[in-house]
Amino acid sequence: VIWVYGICERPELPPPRRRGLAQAPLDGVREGDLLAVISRHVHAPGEPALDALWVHERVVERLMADRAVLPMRFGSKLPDDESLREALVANQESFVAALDRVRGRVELGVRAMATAAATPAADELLRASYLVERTAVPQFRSVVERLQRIHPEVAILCTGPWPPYSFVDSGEVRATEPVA
Amino acid sequence: MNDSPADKLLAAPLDLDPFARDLRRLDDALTGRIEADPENVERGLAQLVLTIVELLRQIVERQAIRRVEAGNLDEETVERLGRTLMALEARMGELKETFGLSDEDLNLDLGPLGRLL
Repeated sequence: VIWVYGICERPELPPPRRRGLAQAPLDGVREGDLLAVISRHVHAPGEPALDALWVHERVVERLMADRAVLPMRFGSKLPDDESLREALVANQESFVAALDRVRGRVELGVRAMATAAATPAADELLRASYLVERTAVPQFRSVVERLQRIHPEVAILCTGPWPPYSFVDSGEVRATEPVA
Repeated sequence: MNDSPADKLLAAPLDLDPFARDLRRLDDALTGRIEADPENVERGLAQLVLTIVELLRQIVERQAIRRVEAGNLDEETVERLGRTLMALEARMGELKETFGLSDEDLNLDLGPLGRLL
């Protein structure tokens, strides 16, 4: 089974020299202008336990340190190299366009709930993901903090920076659809 | 590089309880559905809830430790944080028991860790 962490640009750069899930070494499958960063497994690894999630997340973040990456969601698996190459070829154009869209940017999550003092039920007011220039993250954060100060009746939670998982089209993600 | 999911918290309210409560509502709903149809247990989803509960627990814990260290918590808040943590711990235990942790159903599209956060 091939576990896919992300699809990135600059295929001439080798994958990071670190371990993936189940301590498997990372490998790259190159196709045209794209590199899929993967690990190979006899048995599909990774219950979505927190540790495993974090290994996946760290690999994607490491990749993002030196190039644009389309993060694959945890659980993206393919049966073999051939099907991976097929997916890369079939989606080459949309992957390249998506890479342009996310380059230099990160995802920030914002949730806002009405606090108990305001309403009997904890009502969700907002759940959103934002694609933000990496350099603008501190500014975004201070805006959230200011909003929180102005609106004590709302609890605002802001998380990140995440790889832009929410900004990779699900049709594209399906290219690496999980195998049973 | 961060060392823990808790470090993904960019900005958080003083009181994370609304989020913890929302989470409990979510897994209550899930448990209800599973009980209604025990032949069709969505184990992957259950595992996801487990993970999210654990992530939230870590975040709440980290927040609590930071605030206690900063010394800007009144006793009531410390107690409430403690109760939230204990409730999350207990819920984790129940969920683990209900679903088991040896889940082999890995066919899961988990998405950003932050989806529920």
